[in-house]
Amino acid sequence: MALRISKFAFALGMAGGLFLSASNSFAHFQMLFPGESLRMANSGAMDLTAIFTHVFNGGPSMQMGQPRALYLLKQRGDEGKPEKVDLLKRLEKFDWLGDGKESVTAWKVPMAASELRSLGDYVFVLEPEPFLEASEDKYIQQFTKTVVNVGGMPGNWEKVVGLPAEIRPLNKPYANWTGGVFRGVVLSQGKPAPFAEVEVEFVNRKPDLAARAWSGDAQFKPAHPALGAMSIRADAQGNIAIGLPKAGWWGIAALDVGPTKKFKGKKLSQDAVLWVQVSDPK
Amino acid sequence: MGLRSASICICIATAMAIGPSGLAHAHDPILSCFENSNGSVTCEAGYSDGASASGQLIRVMLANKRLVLEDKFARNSAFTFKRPAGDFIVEFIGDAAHRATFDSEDLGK
Repeated sequence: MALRISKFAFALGMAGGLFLSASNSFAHFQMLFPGESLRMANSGAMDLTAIFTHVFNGGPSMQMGQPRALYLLKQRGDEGKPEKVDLLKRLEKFDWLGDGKESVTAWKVPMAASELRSLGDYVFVLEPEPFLEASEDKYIQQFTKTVVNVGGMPGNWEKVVGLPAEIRPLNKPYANWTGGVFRGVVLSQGKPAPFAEVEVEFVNRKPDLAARAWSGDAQFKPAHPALGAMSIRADAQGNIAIGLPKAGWWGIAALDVGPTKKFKGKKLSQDAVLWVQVSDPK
Repeated sequence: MGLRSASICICIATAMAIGPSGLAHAHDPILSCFENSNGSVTCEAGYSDGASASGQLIRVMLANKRLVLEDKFARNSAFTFKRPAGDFIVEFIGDAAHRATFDSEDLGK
């Protein structure tokens, strides 16, 4: 099934005697949220936040175990190689309250302004512990990348990290106009994954990291359930192209493309997640 | 944001300029500076396509335009200098068509 629909959503829809509305079409997304992906040398400190949730609806959110790896690969300009900075030991656990009706374990790394003032790309990579989705009797592990840029100087945004499941961007994930098109290649162990199943969702409610909760109402409601979590396929070479109709954060998840298919005796889906930020022309 | 886009010399002529290699260059100059804990200032420069500023000119001037220093960016496209007293302006001079300036009020910390 393309969409991973939670028991809660299913029950809600059935109890109402309705088919699942768009607001109940859920797709899991591992957020790796920097606040803003476009920064300058004087943009200040930043909390890098990892929340496992359903971004279009703003929940429900899931418990996160201790991540297996979290690191930064940064590069200024097209010379040299990316420098790796391990962030795993700096992780701080906190309770994400979502819409106020839930409390789940999430993680963050406070980063000083001085760590984010040099020009270039900052590719943050998260390898989470597999999550047991009981309603599907399987584990989900989403290898996640978020790219931040300082000052407009590109670096390693397009380089393959080497994850088991990965989306290689063909556009800068931080430099997209509203109405543009984002392109990428779905990779499994570094090789294109033909016809991979891909889900795309808009972060419909803004995370308020100080309040540890979503803020405001959903920014828009789609006219049809199929417009909530968009489900597409990569082409025969693993290429994807996604329209970006609204400013904000968009999550792209390629499902079950990693090589490991079992974990603790159950099915394992190793997914690749990439975050894209879209800006309005001003 | 303190993006000094207004000070970046960008024009169609630049984008269409033919470089020494015969290829068209459509990149913009980038300059950014931050203050170090020891009171020095590091400036980094380059181009929007990732090209290096190594060996290209940096000028530091006081607000009254008095020249403080003129030198070249190092191999890593960076240059560090003692912070002048008062406000100052940094110029990155790639060539006649590629210049960017940075105002000390936008210094990263």
